[in-house]
Amino acid sequence: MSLETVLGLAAILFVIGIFGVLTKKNIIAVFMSLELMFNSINLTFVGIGHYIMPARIATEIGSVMTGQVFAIFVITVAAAEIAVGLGIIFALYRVNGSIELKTDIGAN
Amino acid sequence: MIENIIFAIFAFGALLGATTMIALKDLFRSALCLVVVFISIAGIYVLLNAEFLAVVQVLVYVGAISILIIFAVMLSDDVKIANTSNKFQIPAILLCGAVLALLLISMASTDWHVISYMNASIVEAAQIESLNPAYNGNNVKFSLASLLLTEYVLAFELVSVLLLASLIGALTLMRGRDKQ
Repeated sequence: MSLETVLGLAAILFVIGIFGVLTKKNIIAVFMSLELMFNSINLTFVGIGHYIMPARIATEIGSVMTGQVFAIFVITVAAAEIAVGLGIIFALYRVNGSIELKTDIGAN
Repeated sequence: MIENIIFAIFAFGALLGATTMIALKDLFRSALCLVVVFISIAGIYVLLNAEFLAVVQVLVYVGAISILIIFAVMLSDDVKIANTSNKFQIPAILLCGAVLALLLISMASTDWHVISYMNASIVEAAQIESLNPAYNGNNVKFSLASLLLTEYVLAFELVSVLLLASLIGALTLMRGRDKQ
């Protein structure tokens, strides 16, 4: 368990999220892939904050937990994003009667 | 040693959950696989000394967001075959491989030890002044709360306003037009 393994795990999760966002037809599956990408970014923040937070910056700011603070802000923004996104999904369902992404050029 | 084994278990759980989430046709089951990923990442947070963040992860992601997602899954026409893919799979695989190679190469070519030793690493700082919170004579703070309310207070307030705005926005979107 080192910085490289944590960052590699986060990179693989991020790429899987990109793949889901690009290829899924259902809008909820796209949302789930987005949440996966947010989680990998949080993992990157916490890993770098744990392993290589420089002491100079730590004494400048006065704390050693800056990575976790960033992760908390990302979690908050992700929660706001999913609330509004689900509102949009409900509105789409009310208008269309379906939540499939049918009008994209990749749909068959 | 035991840390490595636990990390390997959680990393394997996260990767397996993520790939299964992408691969399964049943949207409800892939939402459950996403919960597995969230729990595994919470375990990795504990290994990285971020216990509060692990609790927040379980509360917010496993507790709230997955419930919202499973609630929205019910809107699908046929849940058992809802998680299908479009025709972009081959270009998407190529693009994802390129992005992964870029990330891994840039990670491998960065000399992390130079960065951390140039400024004295976190471990040394921890040994100097922070490993013992009771002996906290210097101005290094250990709680997230004091950091949130001093250094990052502007971002904290902005995020509060953002949460209020998203609450109002979600209510407005869900209420529809016909009620007025």
